[in-house]
Amino acid sequence: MMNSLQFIKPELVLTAAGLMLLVCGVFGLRRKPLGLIALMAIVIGFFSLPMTLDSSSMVFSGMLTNDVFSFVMRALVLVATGLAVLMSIGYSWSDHDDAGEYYFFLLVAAISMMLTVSATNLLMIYLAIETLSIVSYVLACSFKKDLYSTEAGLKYFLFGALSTGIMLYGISLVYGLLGTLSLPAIGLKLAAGGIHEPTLVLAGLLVFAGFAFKASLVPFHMWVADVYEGAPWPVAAFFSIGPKAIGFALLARVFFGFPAFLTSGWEGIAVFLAIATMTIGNFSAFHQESVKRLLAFSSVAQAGYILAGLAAGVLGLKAAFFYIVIYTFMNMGAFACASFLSSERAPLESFKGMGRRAPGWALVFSIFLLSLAGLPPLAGFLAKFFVLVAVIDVKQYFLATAVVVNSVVAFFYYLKVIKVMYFEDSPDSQPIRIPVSGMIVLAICLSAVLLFGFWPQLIMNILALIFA
Amino acid sequence: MPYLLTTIIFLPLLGALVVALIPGNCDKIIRMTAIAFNAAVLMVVGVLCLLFDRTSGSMQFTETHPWIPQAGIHYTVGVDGISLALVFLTALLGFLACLASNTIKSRIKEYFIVYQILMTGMLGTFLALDLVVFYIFWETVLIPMFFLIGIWGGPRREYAAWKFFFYTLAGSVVMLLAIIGIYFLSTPHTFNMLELAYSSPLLSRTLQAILFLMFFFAFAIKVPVFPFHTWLPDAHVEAPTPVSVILAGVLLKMGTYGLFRVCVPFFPEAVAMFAWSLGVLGAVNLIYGACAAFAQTDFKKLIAYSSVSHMGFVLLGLAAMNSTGFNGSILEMFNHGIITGAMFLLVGVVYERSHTREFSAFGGLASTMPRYAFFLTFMALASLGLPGLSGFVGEFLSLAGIFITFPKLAIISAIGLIAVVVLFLVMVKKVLWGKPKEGVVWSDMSMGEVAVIMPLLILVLIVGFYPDAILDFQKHTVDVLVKTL
Repeated sequence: MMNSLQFIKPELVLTAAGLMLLVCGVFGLRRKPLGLIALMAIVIGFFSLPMTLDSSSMVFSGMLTNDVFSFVMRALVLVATGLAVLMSIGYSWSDHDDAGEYYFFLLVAAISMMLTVSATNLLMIYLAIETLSIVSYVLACSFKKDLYSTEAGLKYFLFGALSTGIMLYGISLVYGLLGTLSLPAIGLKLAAGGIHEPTLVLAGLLVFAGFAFKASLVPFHMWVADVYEGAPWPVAAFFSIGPKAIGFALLARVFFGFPAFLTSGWEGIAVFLAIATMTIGNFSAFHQESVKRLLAFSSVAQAGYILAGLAAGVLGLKAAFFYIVIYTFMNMGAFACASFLSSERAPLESFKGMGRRAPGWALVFSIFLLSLAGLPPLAGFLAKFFVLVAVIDVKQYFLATAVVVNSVVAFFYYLKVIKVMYFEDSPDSQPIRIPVSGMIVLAICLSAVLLFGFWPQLIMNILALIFA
Repeated sequence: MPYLLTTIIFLPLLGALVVALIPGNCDKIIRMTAIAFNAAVLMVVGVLCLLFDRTSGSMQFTETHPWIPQAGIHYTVGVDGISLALVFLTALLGFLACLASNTIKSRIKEYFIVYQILMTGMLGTFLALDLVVFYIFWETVLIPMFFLIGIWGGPRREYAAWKFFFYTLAGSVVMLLAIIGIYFLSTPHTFNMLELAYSSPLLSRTLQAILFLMFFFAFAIKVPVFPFHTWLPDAHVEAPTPVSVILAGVLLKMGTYGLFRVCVPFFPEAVAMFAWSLGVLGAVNLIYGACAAFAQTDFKKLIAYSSVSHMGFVLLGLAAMNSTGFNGSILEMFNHGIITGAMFLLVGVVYERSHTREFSAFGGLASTMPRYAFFLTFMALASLGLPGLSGFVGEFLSLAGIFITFPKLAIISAIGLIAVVVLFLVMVKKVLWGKPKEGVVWSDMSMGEVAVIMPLLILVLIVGFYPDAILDFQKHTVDVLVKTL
């Protein structure tokens, strides 16, 4: 038991801090100090992560596992949440007064995501995801009096409830078939054979759908643009990196060769969904007049590239998680830039003349957008490149072509934003001020995009440990 | 000298950083810094030319540093006879176009930052010996060019910038697929261009042909080969003068350089298989470009189409598949850079004064602008291939080469050459001769403008009278290349 508690030390830190925030918020502590407490908790949690490494490989009677994958993903979750908290500190909250509650929910989301990535039992996975979902619904409607925000919360809730319901049904089928929900045990039972195949495939599909919702894969992406648009910028940024990474971590753990607990052969579906996701994401982003919606659809398309990696064997898994790490920073950077340069809805016109009003930040924003588009020598290019290498290695030439065609299409809308910033002049020449915590977010993301672009080994060495 | 090539590649980038640190309102200092950095690059390239061993046909000054060893990607650079001339051309035109950038009046800081990044991309492309590194530099050129055309260009600049960007991008992603494909087909897997150059015959003819076509698609758009040329007139016409110089002088050479660096050594059988088609494309480029140029009423568009025409010679020399043709082709790349670069500078000179490029606004300039008349006539003669000037040598060698392999094509092209001659003579007539227009009083070229074109004129003369000045550097490399066929 001590061993198990040792393992969830970071989660315990976050829980304690979260409860404290809730109380402090009620007693009227201001927004800034609350944010700093949350940030501090995340930093402490991050640095206590290495202490969890020496606990045994299975904790809480096999509910959670202590492997390198969960370690890395937990670190990533903490980084993503930390960036979101930092962004929230600098964000200008117009009509919002429950800061304690807000940071509490962010921390709970972090805890549930950390549990999700280390879970090795379908029930545990379900519980963790459900916690994450409920917290997310509340976060999406942070602006309680704003129509867009409440709509976002409601939409997210309807889609989310449906998809977790579907997933739960799938899990129940698995239990009915195999009599266990523990992933290693499922693996053993499947290896022994003698299971009714069609039911198992159906169960797998239902579970897949639940994960796909979190990863915002087509056709489970309908909510993305509306929810991101209605949610406050920091929340939208958080949704685009945190829960999405969780969706992929789950897909990798349960479906794709790591080791595959449910039956193999999901690559075909992954290829199909990857092509659909990137294509529909990109073409939907094309005509968006709001940069927030544009970035939302861009994040859908990016999910397609990541899924393409998952469909391509061990090399592809490495590429996909390389992509996820890079994506966390470049997407966060793009969202943060857009939020600080513009307003809540971020119409495209509001970026006019940004090249003159805020030359430095316009440049930084352009770098993030170009990295998302996959322009060398930025990190986003290497991420796409490794995915392509893996996809071609497994001879999925059609998928490779789709990735390539899509990245050309994607350039069009990313460049459109850059074009507006540099080619067009605005009547408004007021300089733009970015809060210090916003600058820190951008500095972290920018250095990651540049650093990983030049020294990708930093990540690759870690990934080599996971997917040996 | 270790790190000589790395210095050449990244010196402009350092310049971009330095310029970025200078406050935006110090126009003069920014200009001087950019010019100083380009002069420094030119000097280092000069040192490179002096140290270059002309008796060797192999790669020199190679550097290899592991970059992403897990994926077999190494930062490898090197220079041989084919790339040396182009590196020199890039450094020279980069410096001269930087001098000629005093016509840029707005957003000067941004202009020079982007310009310097462009220089790094171009130099890197010519020096890289690892396919991934090559691709990265190749793509690095795109965004700066997009901005240079899109911000500082003419009235239809946005359209031209988009068109340029997407044509080239479409080509380069196909190249990316081919790069990954060839990586997996080579044993052991490698991105190293030198190793791939020797292992190529291991591939089957079909595979060679497919990969060749994929690479060719990317390079053909850049050259540009008919029918992928339509981005070129738009981009050239809208780009500001110094950018046109770089675009015509250097960027087009990236395509033909790619053909020589990648297509010929990697897929010799495929190139031999497609040699006839390449020759036909060359002849079409030559004749179509000249005819299309003929129909233009815009001075700059005319030069742009004449570039298409001249790139036909490069293709013809390549299709010849012998050392004469290759030598001619590579020399023609260099010559075209010098001559067309000068031509665009000359168009810029009258554009600065008249703010139009329509031929109807010109005429009789010979009497009012004698210096200008001299330079324009000189460059037109060089361009149409007058013996004694540099253009003749490259064109002659290309035609001589293709005559050995495909005599019919050589004859057709030689007849097509007449169109080029007529084209330039008519151009000279429209601009310089006849009666001066009423009320047109333009000052003759200033000493500054003369100083920018003068080095190009001297080079045209040197190469014209003593072609070995350039051929000496490249002929051993060409011999090695021909041996692999």
